[in-house]
Amino acid sequence: MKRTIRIGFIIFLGFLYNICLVSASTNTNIRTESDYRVEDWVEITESNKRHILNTPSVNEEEKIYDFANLYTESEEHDLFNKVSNYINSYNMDLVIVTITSNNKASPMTYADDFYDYNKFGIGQDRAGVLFLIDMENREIYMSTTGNAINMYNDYRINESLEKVYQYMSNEEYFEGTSNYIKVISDYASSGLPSNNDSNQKMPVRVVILRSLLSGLIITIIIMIILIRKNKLVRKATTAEEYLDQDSVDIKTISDSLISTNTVRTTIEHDTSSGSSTHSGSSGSSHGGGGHGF
Amino acid sequence: MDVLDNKCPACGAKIIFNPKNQKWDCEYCGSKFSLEEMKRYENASSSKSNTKKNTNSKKKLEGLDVYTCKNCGAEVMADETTTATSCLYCGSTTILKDKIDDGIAPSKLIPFKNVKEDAISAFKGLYKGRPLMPKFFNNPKNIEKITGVYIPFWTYDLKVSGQIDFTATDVKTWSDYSYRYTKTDKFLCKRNSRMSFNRVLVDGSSRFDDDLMDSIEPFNFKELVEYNHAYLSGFLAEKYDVDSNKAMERANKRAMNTAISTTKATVIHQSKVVTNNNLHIAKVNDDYILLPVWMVNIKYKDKTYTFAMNGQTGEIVGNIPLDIRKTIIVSILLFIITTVLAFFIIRGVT
Repeated sequence: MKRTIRIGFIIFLGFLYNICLVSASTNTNIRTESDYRVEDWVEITESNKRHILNTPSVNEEEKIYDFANLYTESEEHDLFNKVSNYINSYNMDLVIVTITSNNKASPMTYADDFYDYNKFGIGQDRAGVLFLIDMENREIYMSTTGNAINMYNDYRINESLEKVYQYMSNEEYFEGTSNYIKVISDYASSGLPSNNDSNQKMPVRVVILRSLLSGLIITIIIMIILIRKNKLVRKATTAEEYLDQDSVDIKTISDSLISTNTVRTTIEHDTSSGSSTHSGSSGSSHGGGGHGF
Repeated sequence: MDVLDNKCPACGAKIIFNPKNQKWDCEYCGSKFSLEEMKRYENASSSKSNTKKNTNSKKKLEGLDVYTCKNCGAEVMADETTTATSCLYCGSTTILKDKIDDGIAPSKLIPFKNVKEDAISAFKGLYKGRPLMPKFFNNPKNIEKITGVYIPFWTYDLKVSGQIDFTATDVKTWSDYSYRYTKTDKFLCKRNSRMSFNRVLVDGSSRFDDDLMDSIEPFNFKELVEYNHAYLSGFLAEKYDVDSNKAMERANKRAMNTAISTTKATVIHQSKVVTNNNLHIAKVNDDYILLPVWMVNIKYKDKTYTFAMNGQTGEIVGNIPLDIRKTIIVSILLFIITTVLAFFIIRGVT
């Protein structure tokens, strides 16, 4: 009996300890109509007022905002170190946010608002990445801003999320997040994406399909050459070889322009160039993508 | 024209033209005679020379045997040195021999330059680089039947002249940041064109596929010599059966195409279309000549394939049938090899 009480007490203590840890990392400040707590560049309008007010205002130095309690304190500490390392190495901000309920239209709006209405981003273009684990929509979302939009094109965003969503499905949030930071760090260290970036990791299925196709085309070409080799008969339709070159006398009677016409078509500019963007309620533009888990 | 006898001036035996040294060899006494020597001998023996000297342009063929195939109706000529035992075209052995009675003699011919052995080895060489050829064709028995035939051809000297108009179009495209521009300029180009063609060849034998005979061109006309039936010794010759006027249509068509394309080349624009063609073709001269061709018919799967070799240049023409089994095997092998190679190349690149 005594023993069970002791065990129960220890469990209780551990529980209490955990609660303390969690509450330590989710400090938010209150926004009011007199103090929106946003950066100067944000223009407050009637339409975005509501968006600002329901966006948590946080201390931008913390970087890890674990509202959903997915990480332990030591994990959070570990992630913070990794994030700091990323920020220092690549000159882009990195923010990790987890939420249990999403009070906005979508993971995308939540992520964009969270980034825009707090003081994140490095440099004039507020370069940075926000990684959101939305437990309500069961979706991980990556929002990019400034130079990060160029660094992480649609292909890279999809690949990054593709590589880590499985961890989230298995409730290995820390491993998933750590891996995510590693993947986006690798992309950042490999530099801006080139055009053939998407070819770098071609699935075997596609390779086989392409091999079959090229094999077929080459075979057809070679067979046509081989078959044509058996045809030694060509109908003669010209008398080129009988033409007396010295007798050729061609005089130009006239060479006159009879009509000219110029057609003008608009060029559609493809602004994405691999990174599609959208604008948040703040008016700033973001890239991004999500993946369910 | 001197009609030469095919008898050896030395021993009187039959004598045969040898393409190797371009002389007449006597197989009995081993003597060799050039054309000049043959002529001199002819002139010395006075009995025939006077009667056979003929200044008339419409010369008659004389001293030749004509073989008529009862099966297909083909007519082949040969002098007494050569006997045809089977029809060149259908292979039938029911052929009738008769003395030739009429027909215009050819004005010129190109003597054979290569011998039967050359032709046989050339045909054997066809297998190189042609993996889809049926093995059956390799059979020496088929190739042994190869025969040297003088094929009748019409040649036409033609003069083309007149006016021809083209509509030419130039399309230029360029773009700035917001627009792509396409400028289309149309021109009317008029040309006065004049050119001559020498000896446009048309096959004078209806038995030969026109396309086959087109393909055997060109012949070097510098080696044309006055027709002398002594050249025919050892070979067969065919009589023309395509009317000169009909054959000329083909020559005209070819000359017209070349005249148009040659004139078109002087229009310096991107695309050109003939809108008005007033070119006229005038015949300056025509000629009936014999050209040397080695030919053989090979039967494969109930179809006869005719092959011919230019007796002057050695060019071989003819459609070789495909060995279906070989074609399928080669295709499958190729497909497997290229697919595997492509797989490793694509994998390696990425």
